[in-house]
Amino acid sequence: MASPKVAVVGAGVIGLSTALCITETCPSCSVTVLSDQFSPNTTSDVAAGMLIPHIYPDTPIHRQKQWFQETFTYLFAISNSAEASEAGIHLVSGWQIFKSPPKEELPFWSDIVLGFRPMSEAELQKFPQHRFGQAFTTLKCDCPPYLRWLEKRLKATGTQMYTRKVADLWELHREYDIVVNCTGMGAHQLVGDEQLFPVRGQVLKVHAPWVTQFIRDGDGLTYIYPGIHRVTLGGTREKGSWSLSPDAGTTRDIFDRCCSLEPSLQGAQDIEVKVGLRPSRQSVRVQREVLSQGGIKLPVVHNYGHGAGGFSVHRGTAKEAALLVEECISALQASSSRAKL
Amino acid sequence: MRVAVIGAGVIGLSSALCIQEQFQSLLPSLQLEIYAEHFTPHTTSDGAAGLWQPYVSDRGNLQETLWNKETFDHLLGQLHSPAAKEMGLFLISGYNLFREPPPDPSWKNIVLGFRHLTPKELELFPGYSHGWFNTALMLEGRSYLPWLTNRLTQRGVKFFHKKVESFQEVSGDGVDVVLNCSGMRSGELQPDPELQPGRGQIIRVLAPWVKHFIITHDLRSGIYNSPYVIPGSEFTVLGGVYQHGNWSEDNSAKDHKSIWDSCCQLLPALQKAKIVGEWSGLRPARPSVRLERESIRLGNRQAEVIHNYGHGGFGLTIHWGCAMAAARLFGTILQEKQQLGTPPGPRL
Repeated sequence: MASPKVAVVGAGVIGLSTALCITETCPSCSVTVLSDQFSPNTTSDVAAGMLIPHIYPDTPIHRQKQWFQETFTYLFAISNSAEASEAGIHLVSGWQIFKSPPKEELPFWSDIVLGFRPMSEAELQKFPQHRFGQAFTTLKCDCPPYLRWLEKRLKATGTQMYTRKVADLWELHREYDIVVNCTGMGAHQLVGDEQLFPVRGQVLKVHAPWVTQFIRDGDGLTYIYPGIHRVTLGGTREKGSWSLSPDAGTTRDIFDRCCSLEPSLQGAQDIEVKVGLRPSRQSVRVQREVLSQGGIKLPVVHNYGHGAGGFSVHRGTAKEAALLVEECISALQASSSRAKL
Repeated sequence: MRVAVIGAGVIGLSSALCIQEQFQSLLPSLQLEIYAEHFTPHTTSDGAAGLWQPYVSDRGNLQETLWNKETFDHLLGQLHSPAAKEMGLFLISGYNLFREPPPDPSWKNIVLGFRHLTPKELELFPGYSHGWFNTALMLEGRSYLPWLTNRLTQRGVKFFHKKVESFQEVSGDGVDVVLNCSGMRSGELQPDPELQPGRGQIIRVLAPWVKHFIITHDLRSGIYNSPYVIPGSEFTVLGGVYQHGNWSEDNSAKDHKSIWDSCCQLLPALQKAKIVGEWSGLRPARPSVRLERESIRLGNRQAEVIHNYGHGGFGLTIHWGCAMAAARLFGTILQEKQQLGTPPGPRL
């Protein structure tokens, strides 16, 4: 197989980073990205892109840690280079605060982020309703810049990108040898995964350049994440809600919750409301399978179900998916050799 | 009772406000007048980035450390007030970097979350082997000075755009107290060989992805002669020049290149930052701040002068502690003149 043709379906952070990893591990592959949406209209564009992992109940912790470590290391290097501003990657420091004692004093990622330590009494005075806190420095991937930067790197490798709604993976079997499914919430319909469910998140993106520190309530519901041009205020976690329309009452509620943590936000300007559906699952599905229909086989690599943690583990899962693509290629080459015998 | 304040930088305005707030109700006849050649946005305080941070090596001056602390605590208390944004006040974290291990600074327990850098953090800054991380405050002069001015105006303080050439000029005609907050130009009012310019130059850029201050230190070349990057609410300040004895307020191309090259080396992402301005200013440097009373004989009159100048590169950092101290000196003067109407106590 001289030049395996790989189709990556999905152009959010998972699709684009997976496509990029495939071009890195398999330079002879011809990679094409197909998606009905590209930045700035993907779920990834709504997210703040903070590198603070989400815990997947059914994925072994060591695997989650490896994914996070790989992602952090990759982005750390970019943040420290001349490309940082173009890629939208920057360091940000701040606090995760708790009203009641956190389940774990030391989360698995505490030695991966920078300078992780408990907050001092003096720091906690800023948050009279919270009694515990963790201070650390982590990375943020601003979207759209990060997705645009990934697209630019993909184009440089010769990867083609097309706007196309794929309704059935079998549509692709004639043109492509391998299909990589990075469709996020779309996988619910595309591959009929009943274990995948939306967790609706509404956020506000505001102009408040004096906010330099992130603040996150350990309950995951209220957060303030300063980005390059805007601060993301969140949020909601509405399990099972498919609505992409902003809700005015929710907007008010998010704003109030965030102002109670950071009163200066009262002066924030230019409030933009966005909604995204976190493609949630008990474990991220990074897995290969061979679909079969009427004697025809179609190798598929799945990489979806990252829920609230897409940015935090994207590079790690992309690399794993790229390795699975390699396995598919080897399997195809083996079977075509057998066919020749 | 008329009080003349000379200087409308952060020192002049805050000293005036402190005195006004503390004594107006006790002394209804109190009338403050501020005289200055430059007002915001043309003062030295407007050009400074606005980071609260004293010098890293203690000058052996405990009083200054206490004034710094008083200022920090006062500002921290204002952080959640509705005025904070208008004041240009907000929290910021960042890094101090060294090429050899420094002693911990006098202010380590004043700021929030002071700690040493981890090895992984130091990887961000090749060439630097030690460092600190802490959370401090930004107080942007370009917002703070207008805010102080508004408060003063509301309280009936009058402003006069005038270059004062002598204490005599402002101390006639019922003015009993003069507050000398004239910063770099104090030497023109009264010779002070200890007051020297510490010339600085900065480049202003748009780099909104930079969320931390980064101050490098070269203990051999001295304070602020090593690159620093300080992000503000509208632009990021790049600097690293401290030229003792240099009175030039013109931007130097040589200094520009040195600042640009050294800051881009420190933070490669800055190479893509757009330059939006440049500025040079003179830090009013002195071995210690001059904050004291002096009785000056002017013709057949005696005037009390309260000196409050020589704050070098830490004016915003120390201003409130000094303003309170100046107000205390003013209170002493009032007691001596028995202006406060309280039962006469022992003469101080």
